[in-house]
Amino acid sequence: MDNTSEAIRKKKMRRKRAMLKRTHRRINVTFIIVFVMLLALGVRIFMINYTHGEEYSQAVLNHQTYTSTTIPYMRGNITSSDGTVLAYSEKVYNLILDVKSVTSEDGKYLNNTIDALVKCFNLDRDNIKKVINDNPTSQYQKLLKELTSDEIAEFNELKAQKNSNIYGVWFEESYVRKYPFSTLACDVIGFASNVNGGELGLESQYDDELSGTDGVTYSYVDEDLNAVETTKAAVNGNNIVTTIDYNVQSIIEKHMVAYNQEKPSKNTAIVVMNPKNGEILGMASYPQFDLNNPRNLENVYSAEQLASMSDTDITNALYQLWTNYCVSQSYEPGSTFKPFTIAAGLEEGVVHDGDTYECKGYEYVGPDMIKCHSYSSIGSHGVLTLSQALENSCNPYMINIAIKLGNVRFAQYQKMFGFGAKTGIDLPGEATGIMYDENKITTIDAATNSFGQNINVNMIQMLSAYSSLINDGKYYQPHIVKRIESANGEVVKENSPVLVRQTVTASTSKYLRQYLENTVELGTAHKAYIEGYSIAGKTGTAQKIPRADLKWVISFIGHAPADDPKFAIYIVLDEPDGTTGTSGSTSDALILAKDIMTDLLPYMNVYKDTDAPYVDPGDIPVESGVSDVPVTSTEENSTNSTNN
Amino acid sequence: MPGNNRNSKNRRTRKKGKQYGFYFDYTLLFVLVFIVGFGLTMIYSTSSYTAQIEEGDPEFYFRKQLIFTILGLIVMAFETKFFDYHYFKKFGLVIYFVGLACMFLLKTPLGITRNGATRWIRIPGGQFQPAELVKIGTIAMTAWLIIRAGQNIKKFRTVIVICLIAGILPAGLVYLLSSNLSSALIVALISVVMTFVAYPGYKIYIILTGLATAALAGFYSWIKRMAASGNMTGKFRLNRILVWLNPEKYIDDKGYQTVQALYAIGSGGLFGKGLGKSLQKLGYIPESQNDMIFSVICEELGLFGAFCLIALFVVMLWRINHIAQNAPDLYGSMLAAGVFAHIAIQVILNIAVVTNTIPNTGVSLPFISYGGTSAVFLFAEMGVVFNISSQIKLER
Repeated sequence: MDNTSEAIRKKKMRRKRAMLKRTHRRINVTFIIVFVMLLALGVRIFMINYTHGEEYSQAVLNHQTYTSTTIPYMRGNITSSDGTVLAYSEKVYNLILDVKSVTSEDGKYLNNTIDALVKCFNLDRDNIKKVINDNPTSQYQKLLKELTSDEIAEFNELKAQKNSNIYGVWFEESYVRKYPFSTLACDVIGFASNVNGGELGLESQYDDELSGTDGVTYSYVDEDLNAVETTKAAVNGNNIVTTIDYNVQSIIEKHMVAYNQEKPSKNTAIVVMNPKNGEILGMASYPQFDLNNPRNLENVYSAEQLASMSDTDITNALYQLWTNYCVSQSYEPGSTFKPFTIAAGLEEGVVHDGDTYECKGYEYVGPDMIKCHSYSSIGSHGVLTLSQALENSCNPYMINIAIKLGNVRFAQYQKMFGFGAKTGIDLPGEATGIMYDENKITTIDAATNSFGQNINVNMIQMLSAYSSLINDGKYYQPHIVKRIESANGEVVKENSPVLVRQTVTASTSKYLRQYLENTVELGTAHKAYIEGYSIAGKTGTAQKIPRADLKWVISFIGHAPADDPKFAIYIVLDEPDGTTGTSGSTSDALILAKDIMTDLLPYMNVYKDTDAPYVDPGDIPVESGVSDVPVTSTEENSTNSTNN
Repeated sequence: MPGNNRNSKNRRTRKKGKQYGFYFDYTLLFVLVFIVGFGLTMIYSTSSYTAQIEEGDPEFYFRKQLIFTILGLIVMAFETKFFDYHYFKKFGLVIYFVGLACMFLLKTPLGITRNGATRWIRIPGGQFQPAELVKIGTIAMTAWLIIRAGQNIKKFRTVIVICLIAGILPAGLVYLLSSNLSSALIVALISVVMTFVAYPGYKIYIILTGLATAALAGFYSWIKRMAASGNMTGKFRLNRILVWLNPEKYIDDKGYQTVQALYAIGSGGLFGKGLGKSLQKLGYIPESQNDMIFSVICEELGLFGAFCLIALFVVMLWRINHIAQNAPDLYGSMLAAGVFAHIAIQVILNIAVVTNTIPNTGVSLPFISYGGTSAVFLFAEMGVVFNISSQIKLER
């Protein structure tokens, strides 16, 4: 019994163990089968990548762009220093018809939607039907452009009504650039388009700052085939605060336009600067154009002229119109250059306050005879002090200083005043001008340069250097942007005044302020004199090349108050009507300067500070254009150097 | 002879003196924790975008899954420590019948219908998928029947009977009551794999495999011909196969999910786009945290990440296999083999579906895909495996 049960138990145990062992082996087999299957699936994943990787990656990317729409950013504003908005962007809406959606659901939406479109936007019913019939699968048909939010309000109200059955119409957001003052500071501000961004002026110079980053709306279809949207907001552009003072700008433009209505000039350019920090307070150039419609030439050309112009002519005309004369044009400055020659002489001690020199009406430089403007009118200036030389705009005195300085030192001073190099003003297309290098300059070059001939400058070079002359020699970086602010008003960048260099000593500066004041009070710039105010300045006349055409560039550079300047002003008249073929008189520039300053002085808080006696204009010497022309023995020499 | 036996046992235990007593499979625990952590990361990565849009909270799905994971881990720890797997001999049968009963509850108002399918029932404090319970019931029932069969298991007839009772019957119920083909398939396959492990012969299986392959090949070529002639509209199940053959043709409809998953896999490349940088999860793959999560893993982590995950599953299965081989008795071996079968089948089917190797059917990836019921029951199964491992005696 015990034995048999023991035997049975043994047999059972053996069987059980055999079964366990077999089971264990078969679990291993199962594991191997599973392993092989997983391996095969691994190969399958690899093959998908290997054979279709590129195609599928492309599909994913296509997917992405296909269902995303761009949300445009808002371009930053451009404002004047006093906060007047000169350029801004306004949100507008494009009316988009999604033909596929509007015709969906067996045309359930079609009639109501078209009715609403006709009612709210005065669209032509047949036209809409034509668009729908011609593009049955299109989801983007632009019906109207640049609608305001008021214009779309009625439609949105209709659409929001219950069971309106208006579907498949949406409004694409966009921005249009607006310039509320149209022509004000047009060359400075420039214009921008949605396609090209900034195309001129500050809009171009600060395009990166004004531009923002587009946002995006992703839309996709969920498992119930509903469209779901998610949005990444756009980052709006930064705002630009300029140094332009709205009132200063308005004053100079008012007088500029008034003058040109009476006597149209080819170009009239006016810049007003704060000499103590280099900020441009106003900058204008005539002819102007409408920033909201920059390609319209009707203000400049007659209808007949426009009709006869080729496309190239029109393009050239536009570029000429858009050129900012104040920055992009270089020209011969003429006698307004004389203060720099005097300053260099005083600095180097080759001439002193009160030194006299006799003007014979001409001066020989080697074999070449250079005439003074006095030669043809009064014969000669006779013996002059340094101050009188500037007051009378005497050429021989200047030649004398240049010769005493020597060519190299004379050229070095020009360079130091910033001529022949860009000032780096933050506006596009600055002209470099032309100046003789100190290694190449000849005595005749220096002699003609001394009174502003054979040298090409731009207005900013002149006004910045002039500002340093009257501001104790401190040359500030000229600039037109005060600061950059983010869309919500935080200051991103502040353009503080940058002192670039010391051009002359304070004592030289003091002498020049005195001489320049004398020039307005008693000298050739007397027509700019305003009773009771201490105004300083210098006139300039330059005859354009070819000289035979008898065309002139006349100018006035000046400041007020004379001994503590609050502003410096530079007016350039290119081919003024009154001078063409005639004398090249500077009186137009002086009268314009006087008109502007009459308005400007009270605004700039300049008070009457002198009780200088009234001087009869008849006793005042005048500078006339003809005599400003140097007569050199070889005409070739002169043209060569100006074209240099 | 028993004395002999005892002697040999003593010798062995003395030899491995330091390992005497409590055994615990730390490798399996480590791999499990690693996979679960990886799964939670991927759920957060795949779901945060849609969760933000739909629920206003990017962590919505992640947080829910985390709660179920913690719940599952507690269940698992409890089983490991206190729930002797032998209790399953009786308790498992209860689960089996309760599972089947729950399937019928789907037809009562307690059933929850979502996306056109009724697969959840309402329970106090939430909802669950009875099909998951049926899977555990099948494992317990098959193991119990094999033990009961004893030496009769050598007859293939017994195998068929066991499969019918433990696998095919519940599978049929799952399919009929919830039209959940994939769960039905998994239930049936679990019992097939477990009986395969218990049955001694190979010949019959080789013959059956051969026949099945031939039948599938014939069906495949027939379907291809039919697809070419194009007169197959209206038959839902067959449509699914047409989509499988040419998913891009049906991209606007049934092929959408499959094609988007393929795009995701194909665009991943060797190292993927980087964690969190999937584009396809941004609404293109519907519910990417669910069945299709593997495709997003491929897209974000590339072939490298996909192979690492497969390798982790291989290690996990190898450890379960090891525990099955060393279980104290046949019942333990069979239970471990059942869990092994369940995980292996789901991993293989899931990856096969995602890669369009087989027609699309919803199978979740164990421990990775989002889903509360599935997670809790999988942890419960792992608890059983850990309990078996803790009872391994160091003699054979």
